[in-house]
Amino acid sequence: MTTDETESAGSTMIPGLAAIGLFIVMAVAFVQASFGEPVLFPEGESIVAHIGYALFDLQNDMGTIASEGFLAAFLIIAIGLDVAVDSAIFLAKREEGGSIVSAIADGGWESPADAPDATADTQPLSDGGDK
Amino acid sequence: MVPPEYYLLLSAAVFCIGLFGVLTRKNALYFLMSVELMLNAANINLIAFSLFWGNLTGQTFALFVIALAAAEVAIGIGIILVLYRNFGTVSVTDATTMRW
Repeated sequence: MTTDETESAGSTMIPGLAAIGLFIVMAVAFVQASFGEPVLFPEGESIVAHIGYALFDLQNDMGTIASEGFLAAFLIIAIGLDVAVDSAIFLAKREEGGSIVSAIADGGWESPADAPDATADTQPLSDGGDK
Repeated sequence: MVPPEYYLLLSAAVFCIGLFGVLTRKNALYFLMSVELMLNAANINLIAFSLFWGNLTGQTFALFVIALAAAEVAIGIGIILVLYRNFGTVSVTDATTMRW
């Protein structure tokens, strides 16, 4: 898509060295760190079920696996995803000749009456514009 | 159990690959993919320490990070569409103006 995709070796040398240097620093820190004894999950408990309980903040069902309630975060991220979908649709719209053309419009017209053959075609445009 | 150092090294490697992509790529799609790599490096850490400490908070939080990444991709691809429509390219270096 871009015409200048091939970067020269010199332009990638410094970022490459920076990334490798950062990896070396992190690797040294991780190898030297001590993490103590692992606790692990108790045997026979369903982890997926407990994640569900944690997502909906069902404290009574949480059982023996430690966790916190995430109901507020769940609702906030749900709204965030809705906003993202709406934003993506808004950004994907384009205007051609003054009319908005959208991926989910009725064939690209703002209303069925704007279609050139609106009088000839009596079928409702409820199938996303596919006739 | 696999020691947490191995997970951390894997995570650091994935993060650095993503960082390298962010620093060098000009194509917005590659840029987006590199950011995803960095987010998934964080996910590896969250899940590894969730297992290590026997606490589900990390795994639950990783789900939120995945949802956040999905939202980011949705908006990112929308922006890339607009970028291509208005500039004829998806190079992040060509879009130097806020208006066209």
